[in-house]
Amino acid sequence: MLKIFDGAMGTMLQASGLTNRECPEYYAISHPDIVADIHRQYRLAGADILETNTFGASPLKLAHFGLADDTEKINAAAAKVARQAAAGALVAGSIGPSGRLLAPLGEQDFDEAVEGFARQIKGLEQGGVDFLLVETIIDLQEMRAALLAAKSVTRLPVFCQLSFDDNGRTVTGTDPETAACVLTALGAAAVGMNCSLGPEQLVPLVRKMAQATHLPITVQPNAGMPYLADGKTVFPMSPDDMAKWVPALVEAGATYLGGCCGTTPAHIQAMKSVLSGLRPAARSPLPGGVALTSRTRTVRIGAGQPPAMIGERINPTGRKAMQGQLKEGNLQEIKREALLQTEAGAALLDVNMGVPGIDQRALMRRAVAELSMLVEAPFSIDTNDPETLEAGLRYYPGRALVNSVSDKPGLTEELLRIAKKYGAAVICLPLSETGLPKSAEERVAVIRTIQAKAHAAGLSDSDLVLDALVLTAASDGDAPQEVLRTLRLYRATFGFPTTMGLSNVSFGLPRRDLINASFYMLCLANGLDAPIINPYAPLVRELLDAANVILGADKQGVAFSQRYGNVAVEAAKPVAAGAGGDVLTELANAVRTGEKERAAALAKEAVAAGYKPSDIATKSLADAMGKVGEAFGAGRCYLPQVMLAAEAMRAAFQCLKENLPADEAAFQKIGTVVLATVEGDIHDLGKNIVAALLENQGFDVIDLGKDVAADAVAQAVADSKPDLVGLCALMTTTLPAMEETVAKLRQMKDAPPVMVGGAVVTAEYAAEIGADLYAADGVAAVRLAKERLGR
Amino acid sequence: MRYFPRLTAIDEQEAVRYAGAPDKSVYAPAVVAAVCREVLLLIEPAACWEEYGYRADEGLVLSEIAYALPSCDVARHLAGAERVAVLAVTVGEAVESFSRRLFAEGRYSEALLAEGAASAAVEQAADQFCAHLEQRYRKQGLALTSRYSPGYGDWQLAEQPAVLALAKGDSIGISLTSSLMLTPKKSITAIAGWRQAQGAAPRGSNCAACNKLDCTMRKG
Repeated sequence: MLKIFDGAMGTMLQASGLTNRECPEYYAISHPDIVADIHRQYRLAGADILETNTFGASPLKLAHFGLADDTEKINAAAAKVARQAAAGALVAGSIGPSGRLLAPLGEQDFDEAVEGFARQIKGLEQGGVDFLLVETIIDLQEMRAALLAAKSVTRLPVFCQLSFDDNGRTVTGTDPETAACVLTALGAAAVGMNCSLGPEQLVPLVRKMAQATHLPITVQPNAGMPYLADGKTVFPMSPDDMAKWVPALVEAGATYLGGCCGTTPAHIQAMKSVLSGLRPAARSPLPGGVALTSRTRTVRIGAGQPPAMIGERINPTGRKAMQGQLKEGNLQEIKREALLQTEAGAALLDVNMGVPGIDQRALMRRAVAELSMLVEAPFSIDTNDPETLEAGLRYYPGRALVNSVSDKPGLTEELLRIAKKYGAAVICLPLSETGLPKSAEERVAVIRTIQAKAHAAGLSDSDLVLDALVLTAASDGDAPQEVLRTLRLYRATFGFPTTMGLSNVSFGLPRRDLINASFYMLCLANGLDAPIINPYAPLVRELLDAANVILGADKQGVAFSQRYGNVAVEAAKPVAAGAGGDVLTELANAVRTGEKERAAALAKEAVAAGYKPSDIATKSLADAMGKVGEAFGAGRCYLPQVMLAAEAMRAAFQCLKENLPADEAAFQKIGTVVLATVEGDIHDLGKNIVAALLENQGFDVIDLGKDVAADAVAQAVADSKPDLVGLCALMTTTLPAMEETVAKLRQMKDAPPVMVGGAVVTAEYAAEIGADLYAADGVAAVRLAKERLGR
Repeated sequence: MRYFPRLTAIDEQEAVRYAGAPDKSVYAPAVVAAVCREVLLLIEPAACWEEYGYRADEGLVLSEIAYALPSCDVARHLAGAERVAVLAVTVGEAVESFSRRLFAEGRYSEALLAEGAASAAVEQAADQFCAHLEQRYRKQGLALTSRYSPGYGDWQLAEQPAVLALAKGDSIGISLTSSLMLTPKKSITAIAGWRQAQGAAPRGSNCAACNKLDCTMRKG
């Protein structure tokens, strides 16, 4: 049955005399007749559902008008007004954003937001609404807070509408599929969208949502994209324009329609007249398997999807260093593991905070919050402790996996209850109090028990993932085969996605990597969907990519070819570059192309071939750097390439020094340069580049660092009698300090020449302040220094 | 008000560009991945902003003590705006020691890239933040201009203290040195205005707004 909501409330109130200084929601108490009249107009226009005038009636927003204490009262009053005007229509309790962005993106605590929503919801229920409509939400975490608040205080159905941007995501990055998966699992009665976009832009988003949930889809577009004309906001779509889009929205899957900003009773009437002649569209079957999500990504496992790796590395068990860090509250190492694993292809990340002797709940909450700000892969919360599990799931802005639930009366029910409460999926582990089930049939029997308990907790089969239970081959020779049988039997019996930690199988055997790899491949062939594994262990990713070709998940090896097809070509490159020429030419080439290791090896080779280190340095290295400098000056290469060449040259130099015969003199030094970034300037990258390049070319560099006072520069010059002084200033605000330093040096007897440079320094300015040399960049600085010192 | 941008990746192309090369292939892909990963781990993105009324005809920001924009370029940039957001964004200080360490180890090109990655990160954080601010008045038909910072055009760096104070940048740990440099170094302050959506320039490259045409970092 298709139903239509009413249209905009705010603009209607403004038309009835509401000013900017008044609280629109308070009209339920101060001007109930005006609000009731608007409701009646929409009812007359054909609205099946009226929305209460409570969009901004959250405690935080009411606080702007000093009305926070009246939250319940205002919401209840507004609900009553709508109820009285309903005349047979349903009444939806409207709930907008709380008024402050939630952590970790913003500063409002999640629980505080839940509490605020709960107050508003209690008022709405008291006033007699038929269901709740949480709308115009841009942060999935805030929607979760509202839905959890509703579930904690009422049994009223909750419709959840997010606002999407023109890129198809909320401004905080959530896509329609992800929103649908999270909110369906969390117990929404309908999901959808409103505001921000017009109907045309919302059609594809409605379709995406409809393909990801069995729930009704609700959509309330704006009357087009607004613009301002003569100081007034104008929404361009007429009632007929809006009505034209109704069939497309219904065809895409919408069953509840309505209007947001810029819509009027006339819009609703026009939409309703079209809607009356339509029937709900048939919904396509949902993709199978289990959907897991982060804030911004949905990952499906099972049901014909290619295998998805669950990264196992965020786990302090048996890792002293990680345990120590976590005890200190330092999350750097687990963050690094999160990035490394997702780079290595992990689709999901297991998060285990099992450090003995610490508050695991607090740590889990923090880890989940911080890691979810860093990676897009959904998490599996790895714990058997109900409180730690709840801390992880409650604050996770997505749909997580619980790792894992076995059959232990009391605990099983508690873990499943928590999973259901937060809309999580669950790994069922076939362990029971009667002992370790050895055969596949025994494991299936335990899973049946857990499945029944999951159903009793309100979970469905699309929430369940099965663990095949890996035992060690060394202690039970039949164990690995039993796992393979279990995978097959699971598939035949249940058809749910399967998972397991693989590496246990090789415990106690040598070359565990071989056993694990073999087991891994055989398990995939027998239906394993989501191995829990170290994704960057040697060959793990490569074997999976290869297995996807063999098992048909990567047809004709298209993805495999893209990934591995180019590697051979790249590896061949250095060989081609090194072909031909004598060792000095090759060394020069290696420096020019910035090949550090090769340059070092060739320098060694050149020494062994009998070349004098000083010849190598001048004929090969300095020459190569000179050419790189020329190329840079001509715009044929870029600063990173100059620095790579400098690194290669440095490596070659080091090698020459180490291989210098005892009687050979040290390299001839060109001269000494004092370098400084001037007082007040804290940016020293440019000066550091100049220092590195000068050192490479045989200068002794006395680097005074950054933010160096004129007196300190003068003192260093007096002490070390350099051949040249280099000064750097990055910003206009520090140019006076450069001028002062140059003036100070000018006063000194026998002062060396001064070279200046930096982003804002120009040749004219250099001349004006009396500097001897102006270098536009690091390469020029080296050239000028060499010229000045006659080398 | 504070906002904490969520960065799940550093734009590698931009990191390399800020390091001084137009083309990512200058660095080995593994080096780019490793340096950007490390920078991503070390940054602590944070943003803050304050909203003020704005009198476009006079270039006046209606803060408690009104602030008159002394620059023609920024006033032109904000033409037609009714409100402005004065904002500050940083990625924190921890990342600075990383590039320093790389330089000290003779890994110059990686140090350069680390600096570039941190610059890319602060820009990404600011872009994300502005996308968030943009939403604020969309319902009323207002769009946000691109952001404009002291140092762009004829808006002098000398205005940095005023702008930082208007943004309340101290709430996210940004301060100024005596020579008016922001610390942490990878920080920015800016102003953006809300004005009529129709005809307003879309958000995009800030370079288009700046008249320093010889800037080596200029896009497009």
